[in-house]
Amino acid sequence: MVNSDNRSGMETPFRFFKLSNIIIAALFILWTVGCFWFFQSKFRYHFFFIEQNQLFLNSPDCLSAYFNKPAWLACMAGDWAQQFYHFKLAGPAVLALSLLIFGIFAFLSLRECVPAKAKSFLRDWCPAIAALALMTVEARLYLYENARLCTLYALGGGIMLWYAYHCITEDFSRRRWAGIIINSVIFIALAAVCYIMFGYGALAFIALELLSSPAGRRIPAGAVISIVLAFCLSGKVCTHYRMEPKDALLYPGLGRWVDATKAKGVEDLLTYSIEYSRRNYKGIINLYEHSRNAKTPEMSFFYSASAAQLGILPDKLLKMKKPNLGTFIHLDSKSNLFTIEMAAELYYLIGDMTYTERACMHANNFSPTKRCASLIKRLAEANLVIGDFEGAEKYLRQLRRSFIYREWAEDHTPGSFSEKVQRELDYKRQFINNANEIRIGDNCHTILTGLLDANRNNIVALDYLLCTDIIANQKGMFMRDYQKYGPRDCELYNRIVK
Amino acid sequence: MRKSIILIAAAALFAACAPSNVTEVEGQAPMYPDYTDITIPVNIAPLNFLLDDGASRVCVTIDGKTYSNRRSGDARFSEKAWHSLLAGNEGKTLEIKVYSRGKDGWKQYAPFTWTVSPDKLDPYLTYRLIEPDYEAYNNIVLQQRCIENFRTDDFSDNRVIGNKCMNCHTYCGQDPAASMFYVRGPGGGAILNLDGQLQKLSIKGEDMISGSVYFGFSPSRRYIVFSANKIIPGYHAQSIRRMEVFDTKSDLYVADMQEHKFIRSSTVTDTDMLETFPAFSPDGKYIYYCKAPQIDTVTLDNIETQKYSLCRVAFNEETGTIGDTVETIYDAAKENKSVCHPRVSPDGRLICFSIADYGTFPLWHREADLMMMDLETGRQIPMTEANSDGSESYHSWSSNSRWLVFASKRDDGVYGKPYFCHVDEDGNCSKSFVLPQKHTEYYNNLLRSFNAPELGKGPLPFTTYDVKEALEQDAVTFN
Repeated sequence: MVNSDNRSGMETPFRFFKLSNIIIAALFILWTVGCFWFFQSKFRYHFFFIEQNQLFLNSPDCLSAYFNKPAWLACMAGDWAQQFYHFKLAGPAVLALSLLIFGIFAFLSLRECVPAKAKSFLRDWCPAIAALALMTVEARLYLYENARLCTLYALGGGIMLWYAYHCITEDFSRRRWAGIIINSVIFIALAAVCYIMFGYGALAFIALELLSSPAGRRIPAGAVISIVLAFCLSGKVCTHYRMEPKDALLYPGLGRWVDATKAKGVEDLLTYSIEYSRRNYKGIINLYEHSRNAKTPEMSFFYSASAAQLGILPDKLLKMKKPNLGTFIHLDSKSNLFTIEMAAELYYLIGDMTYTERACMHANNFSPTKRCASLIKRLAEANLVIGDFEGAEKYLRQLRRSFIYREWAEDHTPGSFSEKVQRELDYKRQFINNANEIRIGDNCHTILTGLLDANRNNIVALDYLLCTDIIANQKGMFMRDYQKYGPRDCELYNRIVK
Repeated sequence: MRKSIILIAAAALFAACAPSNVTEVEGQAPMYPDYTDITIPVNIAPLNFLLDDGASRVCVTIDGKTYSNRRSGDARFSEKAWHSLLAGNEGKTLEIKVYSRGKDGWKQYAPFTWTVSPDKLDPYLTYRLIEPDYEAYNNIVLQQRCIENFRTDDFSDNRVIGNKCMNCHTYCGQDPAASMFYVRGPGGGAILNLDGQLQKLSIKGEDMISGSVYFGFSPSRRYIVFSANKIIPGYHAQSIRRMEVFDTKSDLYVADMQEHKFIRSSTVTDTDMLETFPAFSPDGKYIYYCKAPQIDTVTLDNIETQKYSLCRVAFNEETGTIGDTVETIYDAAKENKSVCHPRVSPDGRLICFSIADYGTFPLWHREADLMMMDLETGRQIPMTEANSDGSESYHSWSSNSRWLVFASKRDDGVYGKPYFCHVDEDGNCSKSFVLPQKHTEYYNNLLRSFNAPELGKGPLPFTTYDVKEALEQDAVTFN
């Protein structure tokens, strides 16, 4: 990076501490702190949601699977970093720091696209403003609830690699033909490596070379040949990676720009979902009843599930303008992931482990990563409840290979259950349906009555059954169910029975 | 001279790797997969395995020579050394010793054996990788794996062909030049591969309750026999039994692939009976299939009484006619078991099928086992060594009739994996072993099932892009 005569315009350590650079550094730090604060205060549940929808396994076969697609390094590093989203404050911190590093390299690289003798505004401020703008655009993409870090790492990786290449080859680029040839060969090889490691980051790698050539008075032969080669080899690359040309070019994706209001709506919904998974049932009820925001059916689902957990579902049923108990969910290949996950929660709550497993597998299949931590945990739990320890071990073994869930898996290992786990399993086991019967489809009335036939003390199932009859406006069915599985002393039911 | 020095040095190096100060422990090594005391084909890929004892280093010696010595909890073998080991020991029994280094130093588990059978296994295995919840799909791929190494290729990927469901791939015999599989949904059809040329077929008559579901080729490739089934999936209340899949209607038909017409017979389309899982005998003279009385109403009690017998009916390839007489080979009522997936060995001597307590979907029946029968004597040969406490189903023969591959859920009850067993001339089976993988934790981390494994004599001559192209064609219809 240090150049003796400073012809390239690269900074000596001494010159780096000039005032404009200090101000720029301060701006970058301020931006990073602001970014962290923004995401932590407004979108922190997004991060936990992303973490729950992946399971990073420290296992050679899983790691080697990254090589089946371009951008293996960006994807592996991104998924590895995303597992820390599990911890409080970690999500926004990881994103903000990643953006800072990205911004620094974008700034340094863009500076090389400006002639060395240009004025400070052009040489320092324009690249800084452009880098900050880039950081802001990239940060904005993280309002999308499924935004993966690898998209940022892919772009950042391409920029970092170009900067490294530029620093190394700066000297011999001036030696006319020999320099041009050596540079071009190195550039083409690095462009290929860049695509393999950073996917679409290779576009930034080539673009920076083209942009910087006029400033350095260099012939961008390597970049031009790389573009021609990429065009000629695109068919082979697509076949090799089994991808469509557009996907292959932009892998792992540029990110998705979502409307800020919609993103906030998703965050509100994720608040319910995640607080429910943290068993903060009272908090959810409080939030639902006191929030002035519009209530979506999903929010109503978690509100009613929380009420059911606390045994007060009938008391809260009429507090919902449009109740959604989840009992009318039918799963098929068109169901969206969130709906399937809600169904899995409902089945686990009422005690039907067959349908819990089915919904969890179904949700896992339709998730972007095909291996969601929350679903793998639930699959293990469902198998432990029914006493299928071999089945549970399949999932526990995977959880043990992760950094985040190792301890959880140890606590849930048959033979060494923690006291809390044992208590929970004993509680859930009371309610499972062991009748010798078969259900066609997922009619919730059949599922709920089956559970109640197995155990009349399953108050959660009883409340879901009777409340479903009420919201379906089936008074006759309510009376039949109430007479068969009741009584249950609560104001709402008493009013209807009378 | 120089060569000898290198060899001596290499031998010294191997010898140096063998651990010293070893404590012998009783019992077998806690290895996964279980590769103890098995018969293996001479051309199988290295049997890499994981040692589940928290070892920091694992050393494996075969007949006294070190073949794997790794600073990790697993044993992996070099492909080159492995194949020369097997090639040099055809028909012999090898002794394997596993050493494991833990906190207390080295320990050695009880030795076990690998018997190297000179009978080769067909080198390619095709299967469908699918999530075990068969009701919905999202990530299905048909793959072929070379069992001599670890190379795996997709030959149909539903991400490439428009997210369509795909069913199992079946060869004509074990010949990669003739095979077929289904792509379901709008724009789908049967994809027929004849010498690498793909053709889309619509194998459904107007009078049939569904298109072709289970099928088998005649040896001449001219005919396929298939069943049309009305399939209902159901869910057990007892979670450990999980799923039940049963037919409410099913019939058999033969499709003439040359004339593009159906051959029907009332013998195999009885409205009071369910006929399914058809397969031609290797000489093409018989159609073997399963048959059970139809149930009136769908209740578990009724389904549990539904037991399929193994039957056969004559077929004349020259005239394309189905015979009138049905022979019962395995009587379900007498045996109190239900038969599925009959497959005759290529030499025509043996027939292998699944037996379960009831029904037509052994995949989810933990009690489902494989059973062998000598077709000349009618003697039943239980496959005790190959079977397990989990479900065993959907088997396929190798072309030399000496190996079987089948799907087994023995490890976790949910995810099927391909297991192999050796079959001797009398139909006796050896202990089965799972398809080896390069990464020893592959099966532990996989969340998909190996479905319908089939052995082939060579690689398939088409790719998923050829399938995509074939699907864009108009389907050939049958009368």
